[in-house]
Amino acid sequence: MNIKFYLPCEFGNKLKCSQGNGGATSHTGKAYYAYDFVSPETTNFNICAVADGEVKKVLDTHSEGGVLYTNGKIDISKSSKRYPANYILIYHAVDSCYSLYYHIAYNSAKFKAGDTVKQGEIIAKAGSVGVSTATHLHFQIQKANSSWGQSIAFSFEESSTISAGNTYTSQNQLNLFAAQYQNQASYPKLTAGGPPQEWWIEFKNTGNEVWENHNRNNKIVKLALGTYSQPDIQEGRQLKCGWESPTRLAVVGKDVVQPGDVGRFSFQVKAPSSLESGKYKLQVTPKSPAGWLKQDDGYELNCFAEIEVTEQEKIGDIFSPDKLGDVQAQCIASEKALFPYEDSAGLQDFASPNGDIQVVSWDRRRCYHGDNVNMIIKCHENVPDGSIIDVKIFEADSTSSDDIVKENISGMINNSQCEIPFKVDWLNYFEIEGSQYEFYFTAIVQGGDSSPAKSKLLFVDLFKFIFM
Amino acid sequence: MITIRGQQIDDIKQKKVENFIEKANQFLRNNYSDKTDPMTNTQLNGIIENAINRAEKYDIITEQGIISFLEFMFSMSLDYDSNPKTGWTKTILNDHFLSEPEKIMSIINTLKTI
Repeated sequence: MNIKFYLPCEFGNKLKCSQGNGGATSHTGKAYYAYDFVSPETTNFNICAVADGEVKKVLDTHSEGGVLYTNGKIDISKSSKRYPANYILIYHAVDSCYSLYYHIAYNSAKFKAGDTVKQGEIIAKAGSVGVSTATHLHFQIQKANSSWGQSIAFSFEESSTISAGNTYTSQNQLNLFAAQYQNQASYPKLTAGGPPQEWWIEFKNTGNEVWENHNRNNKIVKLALGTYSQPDIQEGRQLKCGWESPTRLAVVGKDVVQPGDVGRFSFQVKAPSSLESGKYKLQVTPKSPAGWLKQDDGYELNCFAEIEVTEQEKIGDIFSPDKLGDVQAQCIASEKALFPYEDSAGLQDFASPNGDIQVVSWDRRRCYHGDNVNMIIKCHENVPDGSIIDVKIFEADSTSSDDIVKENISGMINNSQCEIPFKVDWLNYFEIEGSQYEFYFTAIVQGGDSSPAKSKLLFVDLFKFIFM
Repeated sequence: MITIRGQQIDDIKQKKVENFIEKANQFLRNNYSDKTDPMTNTQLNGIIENAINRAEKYDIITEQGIISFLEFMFSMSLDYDSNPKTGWTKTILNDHFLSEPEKIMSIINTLKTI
C-alpha cells in the first residue's frame, strides 16, 4: 500500500489492542484483518482519521450495544440485528480502499458523507454501539464501499506487528497550518498616486506543516492586503479593492519556513491617486493551502496595516508662479485656467515622451480581456520613416521590471506614426486574483533614445474572461 | 520707507535662486531618477542653472515655468529646444504672442496629441 496509516487516536495518546488479526472472539471471516482498540487513558477516546480521505458513510444514530447468545455462544447474526452498529467509512483514493471505524458513540460523528477529512482529525468518539460489550473501536481497512466489507491486511506506521495485549503510542499528528503574529515594519506613510512603499509582517509557523513560497508541493502560504471596510473576498476569490498595490499578494520570503521558524511577508503598498489624505486600515488576510491561516488555537490572526496617506504635492505647492529671484512682493494674476500644469504633479500627469517619441497611446482606455486594441505611437519630427519601434507591455501594479508579453512586439514608423494592433489575451497565463487589471506599454525607437516613452493605462476587465 | 542696499538685494536674489535649484534638484531626482541617479549634485545643479539661462531666452522666467522647461529636458532630451527631432518645441518657445503658461501648455498639449 502507498498510504501511511496511523493509529486512530490523537497524537501522543495510547491505544491497547484488545483483539488483533484473526482474534478468536470475533475477528474471523470478513473481520479477519481487523483490530479492536481500547484506550488505557480515556474510555470514550477521540477517534482520528488514519489517513486523508473522503467520508463516504456515517451512521451515529444508534445508541445501544450488546450481544445475544445461542446455545451459549455469541450469535453475531442475531446480535447485529438487535444491536445495529454506528460507524464511519472513509475512502482513501491513493489505494482505492476504505477505513472503517465501528461502534462509535451515539451522535458523536464530526463529519457527514461527502466531507473531506485530514489525517489526524477527530472524526468521532469511541463507543459500544452495536455488537459490543464494552467501549472499544473496531477498525479495519477494506476494499468495499460498504458498512461491513472484507477486511484486508495492512500495517500502521507506529508498528507493523500490532498484536493483542500490547499498547502503542499514536504518531497520528494532524497536519496543521497555523501562525502567530511575530513582528511588523513601521506602517507606511504614502502619497496618493506616489511611489509604493514596502511594508512587511512576520508570522511564526506554529503549525506542523512547512510553509513554502512556491506552489510545487501545495504548501504555499500567502497573504493578501484587503480594504477593511470593503470586504476583499468574493466567492473565495481574492479581489482587488480600491487600493493599488504592486504586490497585493505576498508569499513568504524564504523558500521554506519550518515549524517554529518565522516567515516574513513583504508588500509594496501604493495609494491610489484618487485617495483623500487620512489614515486607512488594510486587513491582512493570510491563506494556507488548508484555507485561511489561523492561530493554532483556531482564532483568527486578525492583523491590519494602518496606512497614512497624504495628498501628492502639486507643482504649485513647490514652485512659485513668481519670477525667479524676484524680490518684489508682487502678485501675478492667476492664469490657472490656462495653466493646469500648476495643479498637476508634473509632466507625468499629462505625457511621458522621450527624445524620439512624442506620444504613445492605446486607442481606448478600457477593454475586455480578449479584445483587439491598437497601440498608437507618434514620433517627433525628423524621426525617419522606416525606423523600428520596440514595444513592451507592463502590468501597472507590478514592481517587476519584466514585461508581461514575451513575444517581440514591434512596428515601423511611417509619416511619424505607427499603429500596432494587439490582442489582449495575455491574462490566460496569469493566476487571476482580481476582476480588473491595468496595463501600460512603453516604446522606444531602435537605435534612438533608450529611455522609453510611456502610455497611459489600459483598464482590462476580466468579467467576460472569468465566466467564460 | 525702507531702503535696501543693492548688494543686499543681490544676496536675496541669489538666495532665492539657490533655494529654487535645491527644490528643482529634489523634484528631478524624485521624478526622473533613471536619468538623475548617475549625476552628482554638482552636475545636476549645473544643468538646472543652464536651464534657467536657456529658459530666460524664451521668456520663461517663473519657478513653475523653469521647472516645466527642466521636465521637458529630462523627458525628451537635454537639448530638446535645439534638437532637430524636437524642433517643433522651438517654434512654440519662440512665439512672442504666447505667454509663459501658454507656451508650456502648448508643448504639453502637443505632446498629448496623436
